[in-house]
Amino acid sequence: MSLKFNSINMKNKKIPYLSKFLIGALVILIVSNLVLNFISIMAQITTVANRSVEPGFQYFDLKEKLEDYDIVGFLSETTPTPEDNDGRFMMAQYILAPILLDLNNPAHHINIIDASTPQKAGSILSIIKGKPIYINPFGKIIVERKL
Amino acid sequence: MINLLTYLISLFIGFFTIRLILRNQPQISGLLILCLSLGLGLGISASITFYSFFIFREFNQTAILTINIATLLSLFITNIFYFSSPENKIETENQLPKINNKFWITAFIAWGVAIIGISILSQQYPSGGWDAWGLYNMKAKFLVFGSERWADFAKAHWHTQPSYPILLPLINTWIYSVFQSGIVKAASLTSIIFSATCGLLIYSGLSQFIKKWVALLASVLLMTTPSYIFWSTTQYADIVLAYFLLSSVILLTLTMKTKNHRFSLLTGLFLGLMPFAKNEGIVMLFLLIGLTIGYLFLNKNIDPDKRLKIIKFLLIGFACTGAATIIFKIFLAPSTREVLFNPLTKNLEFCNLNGLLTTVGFYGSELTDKKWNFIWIFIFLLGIFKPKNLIQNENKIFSIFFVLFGFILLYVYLTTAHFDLTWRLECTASRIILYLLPTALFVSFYSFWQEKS
Repeated sequence: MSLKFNSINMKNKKIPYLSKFLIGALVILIVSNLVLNFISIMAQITTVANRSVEPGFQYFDLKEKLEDYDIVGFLSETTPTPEDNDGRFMMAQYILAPILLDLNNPAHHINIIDASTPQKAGSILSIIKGKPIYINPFGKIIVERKL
Repeated sequence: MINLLTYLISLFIGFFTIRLILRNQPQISGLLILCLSLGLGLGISASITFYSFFIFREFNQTAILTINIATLLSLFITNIFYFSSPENKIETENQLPKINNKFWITAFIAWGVAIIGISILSQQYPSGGWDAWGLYNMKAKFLVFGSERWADFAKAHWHTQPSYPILLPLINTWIYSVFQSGIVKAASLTSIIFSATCGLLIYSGLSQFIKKWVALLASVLLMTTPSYIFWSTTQYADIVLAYFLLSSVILLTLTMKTKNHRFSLLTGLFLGLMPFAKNEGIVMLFLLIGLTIGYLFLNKNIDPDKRLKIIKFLLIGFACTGAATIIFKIFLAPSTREVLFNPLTKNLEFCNLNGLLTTVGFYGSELTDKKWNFIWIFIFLLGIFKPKNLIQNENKIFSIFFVLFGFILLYVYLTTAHFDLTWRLECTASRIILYLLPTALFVSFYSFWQEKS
């Protein structure tokens, strides 16, 4: 049994005006889509945007320093809500996976301090009484603290 | 590009599975079988990968590849033995389709242009959108590089949505496992493949019921809509859910048209993969199964034995693929705090007229936004011009599905307790519209242009 439900011969059937109108509209929509996509492609080709940089590259070099740890703390001066999430924690978690980051929980032997200014990083450091063991060019600090 | 060979393994797994299920009757178009094979095959390969983590307790490349190849070979051999028996031979006499060269040349050019466009535009964000790297690709990294700590993604901070189902990370893990040429490359190719396949699926599904030219126009319209291209290539799981929802609806239509339990089994398999793609898939699954069973019982023209057989095979199919989601939800995922809470225990500041107007207004402006280039207005026009068709036969299932799903979305928005409502709408509306779009397009074209049988 062949399953075909549209067995009516198109040539012998008049297409209603409504269908003609809708098919015309469809063609117009497709053409306008193609024009919009062409503009987007040209913009993509001509725009010098550095989009090939992987998110979280600022944390990349921390990975080899932390490879012996399953979980580390991630400390920042902010407590990001979903709405104000600037992505720093998410980017760090992405690039450092499968190391688990514990956001704003200093109860770990090793922590990462990610502050917006050196002064704020210093104050976090003094609060947790930690010792910096590595600082990368982006100011991300690996801190060791006694438990 | 070498990753394409891995997709081919899954394609053949899906193809031989579908051939075994459908046997020699009834026949559907080769393109529809191919489009369905890819999704089902990737679903099976991802499920195999998922179970391998429980058996071997870590990412085991050899095991994953061996089990997939063994599955493929056993399906191939079963197909040979099965179809060599005389009663299962596929009848080919008088069934050679008339090849319309003009149509197929136009179709291949149109699809070629659309797929090239999708491939180029997918490189706007090579690492994918926010949720792609922050959620899905991050989880894939845990799966691949986490050794015995592969399940630690479920312990990560709730910003990374540890309760989200992991079909997409598992598909990308499977693709990565063969040639190991980069998770992001695999994720990017997966999104391109699902975007293109959804478009081809629209054509192959619609062309079973309506004129081929109209089906082709629907397919090209979807594949060229700017916002569809953008959101489907961000490497999010929304396009995967869109694909499985569309496949399920096409197969459900075929089940209702033919009253054939083989289609019902296949529908169940696709329905079972929806909740593994996204949490919304759970709601969709229950709505579609519930509405289908309701429709079958209320329709007096269906033979009671046939009715029970269809329901039985639908549930068997769902059980086969849905088991992975149940295992994930029971043993791995934490509860979804944003949705699953007792609303009476919270101060629901948006559960009022203002919240309702904000939500409805936001969706209204999103659906008419120029980035969707009038596609939703076109879909609404098709419904308005022939409203009676939307409540005829199996169309009832789909129309009621959209209405109920809309109400559930509204409930979720109005009971927003952990976020700002506008922020939540901004983050979710476009993506919800994306995964509903292919199915809405299919249902609107099917109901408007379907010939009376």
